[in-house]
Amino acid sequence: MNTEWLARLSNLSVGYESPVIEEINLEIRAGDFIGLLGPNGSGKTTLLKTIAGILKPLAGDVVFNEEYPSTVGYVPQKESLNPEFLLSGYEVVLMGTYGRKKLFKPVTREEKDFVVKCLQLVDAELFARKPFFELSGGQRQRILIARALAVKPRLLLLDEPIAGVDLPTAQSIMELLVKLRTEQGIAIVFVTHDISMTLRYANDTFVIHQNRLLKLNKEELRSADRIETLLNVYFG
Amino acid sequence: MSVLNEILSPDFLLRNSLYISILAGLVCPIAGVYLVLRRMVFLGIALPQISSLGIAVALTIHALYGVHLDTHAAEEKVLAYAGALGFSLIAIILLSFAEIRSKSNSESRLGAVYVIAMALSILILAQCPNAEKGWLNLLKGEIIAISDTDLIISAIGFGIVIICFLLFNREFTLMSFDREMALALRKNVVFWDVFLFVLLGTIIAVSVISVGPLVAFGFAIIPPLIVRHHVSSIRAFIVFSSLCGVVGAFCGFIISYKNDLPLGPTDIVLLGIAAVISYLCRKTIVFIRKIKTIKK
Repeated sequence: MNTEWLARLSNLSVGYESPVIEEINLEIRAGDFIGLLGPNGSGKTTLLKTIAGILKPLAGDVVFNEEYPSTVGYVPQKESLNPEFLLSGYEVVLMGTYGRKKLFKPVTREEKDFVVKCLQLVDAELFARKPFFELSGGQRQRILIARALAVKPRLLLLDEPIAGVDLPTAQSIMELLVKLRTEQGIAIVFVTHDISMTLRYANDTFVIHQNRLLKLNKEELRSADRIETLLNVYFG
Repeated sequence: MSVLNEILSPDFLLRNSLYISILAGLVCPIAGVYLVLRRMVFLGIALPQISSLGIAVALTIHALYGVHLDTHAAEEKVLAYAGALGFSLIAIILLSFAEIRSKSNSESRLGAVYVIAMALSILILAQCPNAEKGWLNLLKGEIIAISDTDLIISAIGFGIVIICFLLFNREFTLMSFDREMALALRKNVVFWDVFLFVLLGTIIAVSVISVGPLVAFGFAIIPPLIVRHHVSSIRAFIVFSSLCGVVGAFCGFIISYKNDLPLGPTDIVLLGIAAVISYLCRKTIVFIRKIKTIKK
């Protein structure tokens, strides 16, 4: 697996007005599969949005490897999107190509073909023409992952990709992420509340505790004591 | 049939009124669709009122400062356009950013803006009875005195706006559907938001000055309401809303002309009836589908 660095977080503080996580130092490398755990309001989404460039850091830097410009594909929480919009799954995925679209120019045939490829990659081509908001939670998640892939990312950031879906769907989404990491070499950072899925699939696990990002040793996490500590972080 | 022939005749005296209401019917629903999609319908109520406050200020300013206008009608029109556009654009940019940033109290804020704009218009126009008369006609939706120049200016204004919507439809959709995605794609979100709001403000301002706030708001909101649940894409939503506005404007004109009714209110009541019929159709379709499912 290629281990070149994609993004470096240096002394990073994230938050809206005051910092929710401080002094984050992390290097994200090609092929990383990072699970990010933390209780509600701990700043998981804020950290993801800061890496994606949606929010500005309160302090410190997010630096991307200059060899790979525009490397981030962001998958938001599916509930955060405006349901008034009458868009098909295909149209949602097409948005991923807008970063490369020239002003006044239509989306090219090559880009449309690439969108179809992305849909095939996430097994979503069968329901892609249906209205996005009429799809099931799992189908919508696949469409959003396809949209992030249409950006041609080196780094995929996913905000609660398995929230609100049943266990088989959650597993199939996680398997899909493993496939993308293995076959495409894409680094993946995902936020979740699901400790068992994180333990099963992620290579590295981080937890946000007392405004700090802590790396958890996977082997340690398999011990009952550490899991109890982790549960204490969640439930106090 | 004779009424239709009369209306469609090139020598028809009120042809400019017909053309301007059809233009408003065509373009206002485009603004309405975006206001509905971005859940800013209340902005659609407040904005025409602010625009008409701009007209009131513009029409009364000479009376307030004792300035005599030599070519009264022409200068009045220029002032009215400047007032409507200026007030609309400033208001839509301020209000829409307040909408984006604040998560609460937007309805009460817009309600307050609406009523204050209305009250201010009345107070300002009380200083100039002539302007007050013209403004009241506009408020009632009397679309009679439309000169060729008015029609051309409105058509140019609407034309520019339609071209911009055709050119930048994808950017506006991305920005409105998923702002965060746009930011992640390194798009200049503030620029595109301001640009969209400027276009919406222009549609409302030109419509208010042409057909009045009642008709502008009615054409902006009711056609999208009629069409919303019968279409499955944004393109169809925009096209059929505009089509609905055009048909409403044309039929409204015939009814108004035949029965000697004020045009604006006739258009709006007609669209209102169409909205009720559309709602009943939707309910009937849902009911029939339910029965079919039960039978299966």
